Amino acid sequence: MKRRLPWLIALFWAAVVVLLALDWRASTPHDRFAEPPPLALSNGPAADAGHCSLAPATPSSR
Amino acid sequence: MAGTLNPSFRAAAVQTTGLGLRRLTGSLLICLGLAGFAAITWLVGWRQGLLWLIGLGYGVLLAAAAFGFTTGWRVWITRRDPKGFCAQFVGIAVAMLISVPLLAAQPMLQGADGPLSISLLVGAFVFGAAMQVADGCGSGTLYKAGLGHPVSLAVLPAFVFGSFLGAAQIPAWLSLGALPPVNLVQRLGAPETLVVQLSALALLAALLWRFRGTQPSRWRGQAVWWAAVGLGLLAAANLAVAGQPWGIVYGLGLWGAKIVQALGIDLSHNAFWGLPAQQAQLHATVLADNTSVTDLGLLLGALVAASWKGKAGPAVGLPARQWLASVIAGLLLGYSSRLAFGCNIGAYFSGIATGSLHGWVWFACAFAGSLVGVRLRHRLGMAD
Repeated sequence: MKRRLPWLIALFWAAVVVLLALDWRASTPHDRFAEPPPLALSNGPAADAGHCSLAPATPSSR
Repeated sequence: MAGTLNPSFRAAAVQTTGLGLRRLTGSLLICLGLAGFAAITWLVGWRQGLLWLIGLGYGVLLAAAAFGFTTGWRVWITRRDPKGFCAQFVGIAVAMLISVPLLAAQPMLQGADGPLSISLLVGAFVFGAAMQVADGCGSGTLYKAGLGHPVSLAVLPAFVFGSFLGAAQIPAWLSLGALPPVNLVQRLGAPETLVVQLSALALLAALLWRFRGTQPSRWRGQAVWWAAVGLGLLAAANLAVAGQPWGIVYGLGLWGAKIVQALGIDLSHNAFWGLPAQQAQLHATVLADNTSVTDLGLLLGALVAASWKGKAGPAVGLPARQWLASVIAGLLLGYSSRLAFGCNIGAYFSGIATGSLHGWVWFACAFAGSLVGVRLRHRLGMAD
């Protein structure tokens, strides 16, 4: 039998918000003066640690 | 007469109220999305705020058009319906037409360049099979979880843990054998890359169309084409803003690693999570990670679109065996996507759109896996 579980969405989003708040509290304080510019285009490489396609030590030759 | 009209009036009133409630919920969620943009921009900067908006756009387009990578492949395999598959090519082509010249002009931008490894072959094949059993790929699981699909809500935590585990073991898998990434933009140049790749996509689309079945398509109307164009444009914007292409599973793995770390497990000695860049990311807020922010935006965007259309929290009725199979498939999706250097988004969509050869290898292996996955799905009694 098919059943709708509307409370599940609320539970999921509550969990997301709680986890984000806990993460914010446990993380190193954000340095506003070290923020990257709004666009990476013309301003240098990506500012974070990775993309799904990147190997731990990406070989340099292409 | 009033007595005979009353039920129809009542039905119309209920329908109008339902529609009004849906629109109200949708509007509130849009406000929440904009509030999220303001908060993220205030807390972590303009770049992350813009990426949140791009993520919202992904979620809206995917959910509004029911744009499915998994379903697109499955309905081609089972009933030769080419529309969803071809729409994927349109999205990739639009992203490619903007991304390839950008990558050629701005070498600091990063393509989705994965190595050509044994793990890529194994990972993509397993991912292709698992996504058919879980009925969702990287983007599919995320957007359906966002709109409250119970199966995807069960699959997502397993996907997150699998991504964490897969990343943790990537170095061991790479030791089995790997060639360096090959990016066609650097090897051939931008015009040649566009000619070669667009021709290949056009040829494949022509073949899919040539051998199409006679049944009406699963996707009615033009929405899926517009969604494909929109996704392509957003993916190009993702590259311009983040400096890297659209991806999904790195963010999910990071969430898993953060949870594991919060449980007291030290990851500083792990061959992947112990690297200085990963350690810095693990100690920073998740909102500072490009992929995580677009993933979160995607989740909310899907809920906005589904609420607007009255399709949030769909009803499901699966036997326990199928629930279990979906969750196991979710774990495999996460693990295999890290082995394969991306899922259908990071490797297939973004890989091909940014000229990475590993995107094509991923596509071939994952499609072969999907042929097996569709059989498995039927064996488990799951519908198309």
